[in-house]
Amino acid sequence: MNKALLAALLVVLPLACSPVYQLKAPAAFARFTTGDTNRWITADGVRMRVREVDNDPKAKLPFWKEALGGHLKKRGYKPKGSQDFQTASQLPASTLTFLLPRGNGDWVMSVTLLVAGDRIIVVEVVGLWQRWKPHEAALHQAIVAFSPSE
Amino acid sequence: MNVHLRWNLPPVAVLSLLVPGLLVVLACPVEAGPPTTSPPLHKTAKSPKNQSKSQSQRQARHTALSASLVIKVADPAKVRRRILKLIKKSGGHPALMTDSQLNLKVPPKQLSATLAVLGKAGHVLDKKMSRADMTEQIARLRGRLRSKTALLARLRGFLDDSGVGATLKIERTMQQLVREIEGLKGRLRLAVSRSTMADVRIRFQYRNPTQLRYVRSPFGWINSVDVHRFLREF
Repeated sequence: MNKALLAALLVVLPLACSPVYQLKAPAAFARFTTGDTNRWITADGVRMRVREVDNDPKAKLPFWKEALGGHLKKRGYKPKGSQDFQTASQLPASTLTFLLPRGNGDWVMSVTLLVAGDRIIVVEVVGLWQRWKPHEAALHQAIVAFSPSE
Repeated sequence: MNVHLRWNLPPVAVLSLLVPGLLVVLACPVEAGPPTTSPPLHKTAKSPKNQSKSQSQRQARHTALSASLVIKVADPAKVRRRILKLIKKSGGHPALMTDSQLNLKVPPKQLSATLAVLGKAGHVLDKKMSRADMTEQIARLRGRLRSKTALLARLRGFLDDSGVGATLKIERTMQQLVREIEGLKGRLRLAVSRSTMADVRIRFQYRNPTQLRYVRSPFGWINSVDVHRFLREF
C-alpha cells in the first residue's frame, strides 16, 4: 500500500511542481485540463507538449540545437528543416523538424527550443505529416508569441 | 578570249587551292548569331499586323525547361498510372519508365500544371527547376549546318572535272564533311527537341518504416526527445 502511494506521489509531484504555461495554442488545439496541463491536441491527433529542462551545462541555443539535431540524426530521424527566430519576449529560439516513417505514414516531430537563462523550454509537436502540415504556420505563430515567464 | 581556268589548271592544283579555303570555312561558322529573316526579293508594303508578327518571330526564344522531383509515395505504381494519364491529356509522353523513376516530356505550357499535380501525388522531398536559353546554340548549329551543306555541294561540283588523285582527296574531304553534317543535325535535333518539350524527371521513394537506432546522448533530457516515448507518455 505504501509502495503504491509512493509511486502515485512520484508521478503527481513533478506534475504539481511543473509550471503551467500560458501558450495561446492555435484554435484547432484543445488543452488538457487534467494531469499535465501543458499538453494540447487537435481533433485529428496532432499533439503538442511544453516542458522545461535545466540549462545544464549552461550553454546558448546553438549548442543545444547542435546537440539535439545531431542526436536525432544519429538515431535515424530524417531532418526536414530548421528555423531560428526570436520570440516576442526576445528569447532566442529554434525549431528543428524531423520526419520519421512510422506504420503506414510519415510522422513529424517538431522540437522548438527556447533558451531562457537557466531553463530550456522544449515545445514538442508530434503528428502525422499530412495532419501536422496545415497547422505548421499557426503553431509557429503561437510559439513566436509564447512567453514562458507568463 | 575565253579562258577556262578549270581546263588550264590540273585537278590537284584546283584541290590545293581549294583545301586551305575549305579549312578556313570549316573553322569559322558562317552564322553565329540568332537567325534573321531575309528580306523578300520584291518589297511589298507591310501591314502593322505583319510587322509585329515578323518581329515576334525574330524575338522568339528557344527555351529548354527541366524539372526534377523526388516524391515519397506509398504506392508508386498507382501514382505512376495517374501521372501518365495526366501527361497523355496534356500532350506529353513518357521518355523512361522504371519502378523507381519516370522521365516525361511535357509541353512547356503544361509544366506548371503538371508540377502542381505531381506535388499533390505524394510528399515532395526535393524539387529542382532549371531554364536554359537555347536560341544562340540553335542559331549557331543551323548556321554551321548551312555552311557545311553549301560547302559539300560546291565540292560535289569539282568531282566531275578532277583527276583520280584529286577525286580521292575531294572524297575524303566530303566524307569528313558528311560526318560533321550528320553530327550537327543530331545536335540540332536534340537542341530543338529540348526547347519544344520540357523535361520532367521524377524519382519515387518508397515509404519504408525506419528502424530507430539506440544512441545515448550525454545530456539526459535529449534522450527523452523521441516520437515513440512522446506518444507513450502523452
